[in-house]
Amino acid sequence: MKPVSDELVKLEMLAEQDTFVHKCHPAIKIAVTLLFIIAAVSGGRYDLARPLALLAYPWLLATLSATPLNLLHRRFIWALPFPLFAGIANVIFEQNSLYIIGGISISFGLVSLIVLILKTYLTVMAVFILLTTTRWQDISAILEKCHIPSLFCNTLTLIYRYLSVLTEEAWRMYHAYLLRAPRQKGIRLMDMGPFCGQLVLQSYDRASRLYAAMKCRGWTTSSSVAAKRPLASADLLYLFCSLCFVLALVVIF
Amino acid sequence: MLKTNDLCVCYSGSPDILQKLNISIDEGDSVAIVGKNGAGKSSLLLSLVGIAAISGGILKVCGLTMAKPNLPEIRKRTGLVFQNPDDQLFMPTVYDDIAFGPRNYGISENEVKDAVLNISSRFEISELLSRNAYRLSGGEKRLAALAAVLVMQPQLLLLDEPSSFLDPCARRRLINLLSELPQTKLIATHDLDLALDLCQRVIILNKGSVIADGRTADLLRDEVLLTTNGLELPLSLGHKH
Amino acid sequence: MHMADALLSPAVGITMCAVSTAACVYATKKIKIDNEIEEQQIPLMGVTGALIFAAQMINFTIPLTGSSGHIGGGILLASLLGAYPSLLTITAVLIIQALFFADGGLLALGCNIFNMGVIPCLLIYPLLFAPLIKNGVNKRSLTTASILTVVISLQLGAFSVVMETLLSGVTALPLGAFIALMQPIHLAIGIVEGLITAAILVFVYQMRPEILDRKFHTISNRLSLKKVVAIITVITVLVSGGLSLYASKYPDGLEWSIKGVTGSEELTADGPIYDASATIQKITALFPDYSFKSQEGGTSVSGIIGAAITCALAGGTALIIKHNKQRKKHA
Repeated sequence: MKPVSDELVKLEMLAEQDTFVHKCHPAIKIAVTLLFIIAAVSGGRYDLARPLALLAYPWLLATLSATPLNLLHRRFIWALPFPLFAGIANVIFEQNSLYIIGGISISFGLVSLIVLILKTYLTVMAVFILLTTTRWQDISAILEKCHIPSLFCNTLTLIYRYLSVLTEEAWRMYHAYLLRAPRQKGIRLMDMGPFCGQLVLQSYDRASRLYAAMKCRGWTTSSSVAAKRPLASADLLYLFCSLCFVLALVVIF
Repeated sequence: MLKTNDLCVCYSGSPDILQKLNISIDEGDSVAIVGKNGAGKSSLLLSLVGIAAISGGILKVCGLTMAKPNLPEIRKRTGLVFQNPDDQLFMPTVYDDIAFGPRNYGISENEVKDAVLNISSRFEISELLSRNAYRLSGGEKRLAALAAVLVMQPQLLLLDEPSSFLDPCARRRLINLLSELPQTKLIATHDLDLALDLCQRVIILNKGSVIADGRTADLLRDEVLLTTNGLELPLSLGHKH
Repeated sequence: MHMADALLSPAVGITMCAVSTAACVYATKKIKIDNEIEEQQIPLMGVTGALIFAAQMINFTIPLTGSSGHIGGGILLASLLGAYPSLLTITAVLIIQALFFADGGLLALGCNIFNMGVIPCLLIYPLLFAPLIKNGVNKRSLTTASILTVVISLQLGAFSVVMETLLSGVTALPLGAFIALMQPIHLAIGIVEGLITAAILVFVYQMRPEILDRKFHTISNRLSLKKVVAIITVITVLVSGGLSLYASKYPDGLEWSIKGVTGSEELTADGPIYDASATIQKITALFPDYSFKSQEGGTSVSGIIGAAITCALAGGTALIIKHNKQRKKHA
């Protein structure tokens, strides 16, 4: 449970670095990331070339932005199970051979499994690199700029802020429980109601204290709690270069 | 600065938490409110900013009578620092949190920036401005919360247990900072040594009523009075036993 | 149950994003904040959203659940916050999960919001949970309503995961087998999650009934028949639109699934629905020729070799840059 906030701290520290990727306008980074994801997943089921070629983009970007790849690979493993499940099904159902290399036949299913794994890798990487090069407050500022209703921006900001507070609260409660129930591996199902229920009540009280604190500082429903930050001048060169790069790869392969 | 006349406060349905409170505080005073858990200290502070509803009596804060139309102005003139900074600091960064109040009052972004930089250099937290609140220590959180309130330059500063979550060093730093502030201060606390250091006057609450009101040095020496109200002699005065 | 980007085609991903955005806009419009009690809802949405993260952490320790992470989501939030605020809260939770925890992805957000937000919060909660507790909130009605609605929400959610994956054409798993795998797993998860949701709601109801009551009263005015029909129509249009889109692109491979769904081998791929989805397809397929080009076979071996060389070149460049940086650091 603790690692939740540790993980966030790690991401945040990475996002505070000072490479040219970090300095780039967050809106452009978001746009490029989205386009890259679409490019990555738009290849066909047996289209091995495109995802392979696109690997170039995150690798270069990670290097340029000094993002440690090992942190990234752990994340990739978390995201893997479901695509793996779908991919393995393909191996079972599609045994016709697509390529024969040195007498060994490679089936359609196997190729599509590899394609799926590559796609997962690419999409997870793209989001991860966005996160390690862009500060959260800049992302939420973009949402505000896009005229997303403040009700939603507020919710997003508050969840991000309080998820570490509440997970730590839950972590303390959880360990306090286990210390008094040393033979159990976790919380018994029958205790889950009161346990999580307490968390609900605590959250409810916290929300009313939070409301009081916001009110005391002049908050009204029309004001926003999302960060406001003057945006840096748009780095169109970055947009241009990365778009050309991704598009070139897509067109060639 | 603050005057209550038979002030009663209750939460819906339950009996009065504060009963017929009569308190008057002059400008520039520093007053401690002490009392055991549940004595009504926090409720008193919340009622002064219009969060806890008044069920009877009259309350005047900073020259304004507590009533709905006056609420925005009262909240602008008072500053309440909550017991748990986690309840108060909710913005993505310390900078945005300190800027939250001024922005709500429609101050221009340049002036907001000046005010934030100014207060944070005074509190020596300039290097924390870009951090998220969960990456601060207890002492840093407390200073950030205090800065977020003081940036609005309130006339009346209300502090709820300011020394909780602090190590001795951070506590000393906070006391020094608070003692330099010119504002009228009302401090609800269990920390009688802090009361002794910061306040000339102390009010003892028990079960929602004022038990005693007088000079800190006198009241906090009265062991009988303190024990009957669930309090103990401050450490710095307890050595003679 | 989080959909991943890799399992989606751009057409399905972007269509679902549009659907979920529409649902969120509708929910935002429906939330009225006029007085102080309603105002308090705003911090409450944030804090309960954070609570979902905390609750999910705890669930990892229950031996029965296996897959966790999604327990206590939609129905719990809906009964604490009401239908519309809970949808916005879940959406925010999913965005943070996608960004920070690699749960789902950016393109898959639309699917995930639909599967885990729109279904429980906007469909099941008002249409099923509310009628079930209408005759009086008590321990028994809360328990029945929670278990039933959580199980049904998860079943529907799992089913739409199946449909979204199949429509994207990334798996060869037949519809029947896919369903046979997904639904029972989610039945088990749903029962555990339902039990926990019930236990939490009963506890909260016993300790602080006012937290739940206000919400329950406001939802108990039933949805009009007109609205129910409208909702069902929208879903039908979406599903059939998606199906026809898929069918027109993969006429051979999909016969079985169309047969399974409609009972006939042929599915007429024309009319307004098809036109609309074709337009969506045109807009969303950035690289039209490439999206579906390998339905018969893969790219040529030379193509793959070319890609591999590009990839190696990029890797090499990356290594050189890194090496240079390190040297600079040491110097």
